[in-house]
Amino acid sequence: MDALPEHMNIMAAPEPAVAESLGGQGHLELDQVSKSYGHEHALLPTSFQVRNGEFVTILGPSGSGKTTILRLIGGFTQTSSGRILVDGKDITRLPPNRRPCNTVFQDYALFPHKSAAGNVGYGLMVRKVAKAEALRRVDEALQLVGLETMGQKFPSQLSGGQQQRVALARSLVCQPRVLLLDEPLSALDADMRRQMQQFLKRVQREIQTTFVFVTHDQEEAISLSDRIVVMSKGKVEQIASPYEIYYRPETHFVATFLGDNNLMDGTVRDGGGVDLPIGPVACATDGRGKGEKVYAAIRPERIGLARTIEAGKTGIECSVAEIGFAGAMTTVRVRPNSMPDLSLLVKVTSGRWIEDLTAGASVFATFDPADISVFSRTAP
Amino acid sequence: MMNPVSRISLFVLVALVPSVFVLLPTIAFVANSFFAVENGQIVPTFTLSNYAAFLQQPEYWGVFVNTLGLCLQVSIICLVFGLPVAWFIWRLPERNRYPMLFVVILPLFMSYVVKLFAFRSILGLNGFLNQLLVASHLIDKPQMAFLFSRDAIVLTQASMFFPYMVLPIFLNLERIPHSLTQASSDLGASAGMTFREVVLPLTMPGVVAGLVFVFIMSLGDYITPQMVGGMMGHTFGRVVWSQFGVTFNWPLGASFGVVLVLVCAALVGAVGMTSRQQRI
Ligand SMILES: Nc1ncnc2c1ncn2[C@@H]1O[C@H](COP(=O)(O)OP(=O)(O)O)[C@@H](O)[C@H]1O
Ligand SMILES: [Mg+2]
Repeated sequence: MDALPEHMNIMAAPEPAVAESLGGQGHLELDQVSKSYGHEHALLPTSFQVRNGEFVTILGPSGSGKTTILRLIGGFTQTSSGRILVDGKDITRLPPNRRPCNTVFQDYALFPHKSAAGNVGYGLMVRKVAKAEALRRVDEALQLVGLETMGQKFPSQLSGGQQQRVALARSLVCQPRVLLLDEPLSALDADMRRQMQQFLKRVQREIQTTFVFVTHDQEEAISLSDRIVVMSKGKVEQIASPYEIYYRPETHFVATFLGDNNLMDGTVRDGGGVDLPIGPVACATDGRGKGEKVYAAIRPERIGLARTIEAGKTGIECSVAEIGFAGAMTTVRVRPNSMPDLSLLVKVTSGRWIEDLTAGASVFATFDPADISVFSRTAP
Repeated sequence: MMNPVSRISLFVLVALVPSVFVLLPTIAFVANSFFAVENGQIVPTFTLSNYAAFLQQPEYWGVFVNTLGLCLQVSIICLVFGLPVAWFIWRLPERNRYPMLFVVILPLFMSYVVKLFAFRSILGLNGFLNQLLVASHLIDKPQMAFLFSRDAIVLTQASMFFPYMVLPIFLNLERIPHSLTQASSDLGASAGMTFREVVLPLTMPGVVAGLVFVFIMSLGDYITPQMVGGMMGHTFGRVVWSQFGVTFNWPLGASFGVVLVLVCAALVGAVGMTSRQQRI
């Protein structure tokens, strides 16, 4: 997993005082919420909670039901079943304008006939907030997103990133208990996207508002979130911290959706451990019964390569099939001598000895059994 | 590739049709407005007397001003009913939207004359409206008041040109992304506030286009006034028509026509300028 480069950080940190009138920490709960269109299930019954001030990302491929979840929370689509609660209050049947949530839309949805300040002040205007207070809050919100000098500009005069920030300010000025963001960065180019990721994260830390963020970009999800909800085909696959999602997948989908992974068929051994094609491995099996069919997954960077192996340590003797130099890291594909049909992907830091490595060379692949995660082969 | 000669001759051929059938008649028409009539003959001199006649004689410019008022009335009635109808159609579920629009603009596919006779039979002495009112004892005997009045012209034109108001407004509404109305609702606005603050301002180009369409069509219409307006149907379109068809003073009629064209062009130009200043 690549960390985001720090030097991208061009936006001035907002003044701490600014944040006080913006946002609130709400507790969101989905209780067996589902949505179907005719016979098609856009979302199967789903339950999860988002804690106060948490940054939760809904991650999944296109069509997996991410937008559906956000629209159900925002109130733009009616649930087929289940309840949605914010701070313990049932909002399932409330219209969008009476929900304590605000949405940042994928296409920003800025009003083209209103200035940036007019857009940001919209929610205050419809709530009939007194003029002086509204002006102050609009200024604060624009300052938070670093656009205090752009208030009089119209959306067509702003760049994509600036429009994005106006949309964010417009939602935050309404002091939502929960902020919903539907792929807000997908229309931006790569550089702008990285800047906005950092910016969003900083704003969220600053104002401590509960964020529910939707993306199909795994890196984005991993680098931004406190927790990730992985979705596939209208179903939640796993809800966990980015680290667990990445290193402790619980389904085949999660194991293969995020980045490269090595996946092997295995069978649980009597008294712990798993029989794998490369031999028995003493990894945790979470109390699974003997003979259960499982998958074992290990990330490429958790496998090491060595020319020789010290006495007492174990390693799998392999031959190198392919070498891919990618700067700091080198990707090596190796085949165990005992199982030439199996291929393992290994990512190692590009040391000097890797330079001399050639296809066909003999190496030892080493790993810590604790780095292998095991999950059931039959879908839960 | 074509050789230059055949390319030029093709261009001439293509350009010929519009120039012969549009440009030349227009030039002849404008030229006519500066000609004089002596002893029932058109004399090709240069005179401004036709325009002077228009400005000096109240029976011409008075009718013209009255007609502008009538056209404005028709346009506003179309707007008052057309905007809610367009909005209603736009709010329908997707599968009903276009069938409903089709129903509203269906009269466009009917013959003008048939529609006019339909209105005569509704408004006439033994017409539907009179019979209805008599049957419901609101009046004791049928009256002529509905037909052959200024109101009859306004009513007939407003209903005939109604689709020309609904269509541009609806098409404009269709261009408003749903995310904008959703965002408005998301930010706390009621349906009414969303309409006033988002939908209406963004529909202005369609509203203006509809107003201009209806106004211009109403201004140029000389058949409706004749058919349902009777003696009252003395609108400017009729005055122009009578110069050609009754008194055979073509130059005077042509000058009136030029005035009409200038008014329409000014209207379209003004609208074009204002819509270019908008940010949508
Ligand atoms: N209005 C709708 N009518 C019918 N099917 C829909 C509608 N909206 C979404 N769907 C279906 O629901 C599924 C999930 O869609 P969505 O939540 O938009 O996915 P995502 O945002 O993850 O790409 C898709 O299969 C989509 O076709
Ligand atoms: Mg989506």
